[in-house]
Amino acid sequence: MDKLTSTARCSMLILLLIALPACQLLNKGQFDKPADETRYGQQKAAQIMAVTPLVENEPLQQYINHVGSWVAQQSSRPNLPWRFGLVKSDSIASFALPGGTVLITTGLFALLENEAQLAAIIAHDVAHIDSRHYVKALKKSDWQNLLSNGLPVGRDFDADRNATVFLARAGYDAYAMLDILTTLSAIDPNADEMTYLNATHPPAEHRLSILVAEMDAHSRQFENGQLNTDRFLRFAR
Amino acid sequence: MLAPATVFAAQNAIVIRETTAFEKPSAGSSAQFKIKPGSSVDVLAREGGWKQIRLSNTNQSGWVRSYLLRENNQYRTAETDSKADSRGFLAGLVSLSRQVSGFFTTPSASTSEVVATIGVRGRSASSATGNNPPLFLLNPQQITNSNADEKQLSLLEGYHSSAKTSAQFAVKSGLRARSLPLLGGS
Repeated sequence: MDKLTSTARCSMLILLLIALPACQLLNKGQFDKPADETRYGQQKAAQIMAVTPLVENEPLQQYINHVGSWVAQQSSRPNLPWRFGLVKSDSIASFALPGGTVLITTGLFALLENEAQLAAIIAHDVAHIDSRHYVKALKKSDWQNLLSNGLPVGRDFDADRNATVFLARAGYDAYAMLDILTTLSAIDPNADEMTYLNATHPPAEHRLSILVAEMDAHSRQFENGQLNTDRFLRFAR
Repeated sequence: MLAPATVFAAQNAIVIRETTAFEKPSAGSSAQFKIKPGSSVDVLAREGGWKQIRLSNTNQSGWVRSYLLRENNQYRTAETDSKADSRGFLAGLVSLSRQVSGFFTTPSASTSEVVATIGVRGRSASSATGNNPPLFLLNPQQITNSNADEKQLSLLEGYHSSAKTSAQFAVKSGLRARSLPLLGGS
């Protein structure tokens, strides 16, 4: 009996020794498998949703998932377990959690005018996840810092650029990305709802100036996209 | 006369920032006239990232970048309430639990570029209008200190749309996937 207990203790110690470095690696964003990345992102999403819970509107949530999943299929990581949620917060923000989870606040959603703009918001976050921006940033920073201050300079410009392509690949009007950035740039930057976005993203004005130039240079590939305004309004109302 | 790619019944829109109207949907065409932010225009047609507009109550028309306009009409049909955006364009979303009571102002900007500002109801605005519930804002510290809510995660899982389902949903509205390369620099 004593021998068994001793074996059990020994096993626990070994497990602990394995688990601790694994946990530290996860916190540093060094994921061996996509499943580890997803698990990490889901835990962070669950923390966010503990504070800003999901909107209780199943048809709307499913609609957002249909749109989101379609956009995500246009990325280089279509097989991630993509999940999209609308959460209750007046802050104008969205979260791209490692491994395929995207959360959008009601504050941001309320600014949207059509499905293409919803797809644009989603495409920006899908682009972050697709390029593993947070995973890479976690090697040099920690989650608390990234959540409070955003990604390193340049990542959002990259995500905007890739988002327009994901939108066009999905058949949406990629100019919707410019539409929503224009809306953001026109909001009073001192509004409380903008505090989080201001802390975590470059000014929308700056993002616009870069993206307009990029889209102008490739205008042919952005022709004839759809806005899907009617369908958006059916679900959003 | 041939109509451009998409023709609208004339819709009313507001110009978000100072811009130039061009003769054709191209910045390479000749500049027609300048438009001030906050100007009301009728949208006549859309082509790519451009919209053909006519300044309200005038015969001046031209093409401007579509993202510089905010259209009103599509939301005007929605039933509005006292919290609705005064411009009307957000009114259709009020039922969602949004409590934006926006306002449209043109600040006395000192910069050369004047931008019309969308007001989102913040503390300063709420104190001016009164009767607004408190804002529910993100607090990163509160988030990192919270315990993961597994029930919310399960709920989120239930909304999942598979690749097949989302493709069917896309096709239903006429969306078709296209093969396009990423832009340079990615």
